[in-house]
Order: sequence, then C-alpha cells, then structure tokens
Amino acid sequence: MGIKIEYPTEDEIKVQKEKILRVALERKTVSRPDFQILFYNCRLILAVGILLYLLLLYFCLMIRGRGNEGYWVLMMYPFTYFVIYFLSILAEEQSEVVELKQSMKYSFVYVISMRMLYTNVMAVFLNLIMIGILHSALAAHAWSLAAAGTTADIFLALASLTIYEKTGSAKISGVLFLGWIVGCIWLLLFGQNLYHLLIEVVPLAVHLAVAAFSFLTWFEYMRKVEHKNAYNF
Amino acid sequence: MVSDEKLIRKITRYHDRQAADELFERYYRKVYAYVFRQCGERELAMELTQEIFMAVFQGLHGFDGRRAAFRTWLYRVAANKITDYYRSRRYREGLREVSLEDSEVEITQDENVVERLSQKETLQQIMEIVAGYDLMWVRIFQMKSFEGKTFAEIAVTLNLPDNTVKSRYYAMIKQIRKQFETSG
Repeated sequence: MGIKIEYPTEDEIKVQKEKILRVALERKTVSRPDFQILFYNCRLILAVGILLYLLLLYFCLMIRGRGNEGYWVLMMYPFTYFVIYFLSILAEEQSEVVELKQSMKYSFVYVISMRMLYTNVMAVFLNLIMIGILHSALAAHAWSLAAAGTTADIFLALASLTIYEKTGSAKISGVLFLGWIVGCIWLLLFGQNLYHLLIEVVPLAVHLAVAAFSFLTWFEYMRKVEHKNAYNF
Repeated sequence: MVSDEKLIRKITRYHDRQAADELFERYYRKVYAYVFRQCGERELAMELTQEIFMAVFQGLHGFDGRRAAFRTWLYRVAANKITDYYRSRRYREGLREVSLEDSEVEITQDENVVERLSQKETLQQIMEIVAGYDLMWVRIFQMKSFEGKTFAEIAVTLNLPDNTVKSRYYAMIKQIRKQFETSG
C-alpha cells in the first residue's frame, strides 16, 4: 500500500504502553465465595450424603473379620465425594438452578470446583473414621490404604471436574465412578497379587508422598480455575 | 527470540512485566501501521491501536494458542475494532447495511479504487463504504488490501472456496467505485 505511515513518537508510544500494561497487568483480587453460596440449595443433598456415609460405616462394621476389608475400603473411598458431586449437579440441573447459577458473579465451574474441594476435605476426614473402625482388621496397612484411597479420591475428583468443565455433563463422570468400582471388584476377585504389591509392599512414605502430590495437583487446578474462570465477566 | 506463546504464559501466570513489554514492542508498530493504512489519521490510529492492545492484553487469559497463532488472533481483533469504528460512524450517519449477492462478477483489476486507498483523503470514505457490508466481505477486503494476503491464503483462513473469495473481493471493488462515483 502506497500510503505513508505517520508513526507516533517514542514518547507517545511509551505513554500508550504504560497505560495499556498498567491495566493489563493489574492483579485481580479474587474474593472467594463463602460456604452459603457454594452450597446454596444443597442442604438436602449434604444430608443424603451424610446418611449414605453412615450406611457405609454400618457396612464396614458388617465386613469386619472377613479378610477382604482392604478391597472394600479402597472401593468406598471416593463414594462420599461422588454421591455429593452427582446429587448436587443432577438436582440443580433438574430444578433448573444451573441457569440461575450461571448468571451469578462466580462462574459455575468455579463454584462446583470450590464446592468439591470442601467436599473432598470433608471426605478425607470421614474416610479416616472408616479406617479407624477397620483398623484392627487392616493392621499395618491401614495408613497405606488411607493414603492410597485419598490419592485415588483426589485424582478421580480432578478427572470428574475436568470432564464437567469440558463437556458440561456430570453423567459422564458416572462412568468414571463405575469404572473405579469395577476395577476394585476385579482386584478383589483376581488381583490379590497386585493389591499386595501396591498396598502392602510399597512403603507408607511413598503412599504419603503420592497423596501429598495429589493435593498439590488439586491446588494447582484450583489456582488455574481461579485465574482463568472465577468470574462470569 | 522467545516465542509469543512463552511470553503469553509468563504474562498470564506471573504478570511478568518484562514479557508484556516484549510482546508489546514486538507488535505495536506493525499493528499501528495496519490501522493507519485503514484510517489515514495519526491520532485516530493511535486511539484505535491503544484499544486493540487493551482488548488483547485483557483477553490473554482466554487466548488458546492451539486454535490460532497469537499474531493471527491479534490481527483479527485489530480488523474487528477497525470495522466496529467505521460501522459506528455509519450508524451515526444513519446509513444502513448493504448486501451484495454472490453472483457472477467480472473479475477485472480495478486500479482506481486500489489507488484511492493510498490517498488519505479518500481512504476513510472507502472504509466507511466497506464497513457497511457483511463482516465476511469486510474481512476479505481487509486481508487482501491491508494484510497483503493472496486469495488462496484468504480462502484457507476464512474456509471459503478460492473463487468465492475472488469474486466477492472484485464485487466489492466494483460497488465501492460505483458508490464513490455516485457520491462524487
């Protein structure tokens, strides 16, 4: 093109740059939503989750002394998390609260992620109670099982949140949960050697390190969601 | 030289001022020249360029390098801002959108219109006319006249057949000349 370009002076460019970068690099402070916002309209679901967990504890008392407690504990580890996860999203979809929540200040993905963070922390403590009940049966491997179960719980939770973020559907995560249960049943029926290797041979320190890594991965995921996706504007 | 993607990662993750500086310096003059060629006024070009960079830097978090290169995205933002500017001018003047049919058009060179684009006095008039057309047509015109792209490259970018791009471009040129001659 023949037109002669009239460039701004260096000083003018510098002034523009300052204006642009000051706004662009401003750190947005993310005020996290409180518990009431995260669990808005979820009281019934939390109650159902706790009730199912109590049934789980009752089940633990029933299976004590049968020799295969470890497999059942591993299978039940993500149970509380997934029950609350599914029920909360499905109930909201059915009552059409999702659309309302999508118009909130915080993005729905962020709300779900924060909610499941609290749920997971709660689940870790509840699962420790389960381990406590079965401690005598699990003996030396109780803590390894607790650490391995926590790791599995967190990675399954991360996978379900990522799937939800990408597809907007919680139902696909159902396949994940079912796959976990099938895997544990397989372990119970055919995988005793693998169980022995993973839970009884691998040292507790390794399990704890992997569990710690899984928590760090979770926090990194939350940091990315906050950074990228926390607000709806 | 550090890649655009690496600089963007540093800016979005760590609010790295140096990386932001480098990205700005890398593209400012190119984008400014691109804008100037479409508006012909220094102050206006500076204002639009500032708006473009504001939009781009604020939108960096949402930029996905797998879908398009940063440069492509940057120029797309720039092209849209320029079109928006001229459309708002048309809106203020009460001019309506013009539609063109994808009919058979004689493909001939129209040096007259192309030459006028290099004259500041007529540049804005032409851009105002161009902004009245469908966005897809505007993009073809901008990419051919100001981004130096070939018809084949434009066809690939916009996912259109080569012939469609060519015929639309020349249809616009013909219409612009007609409107220009009518308005005197």
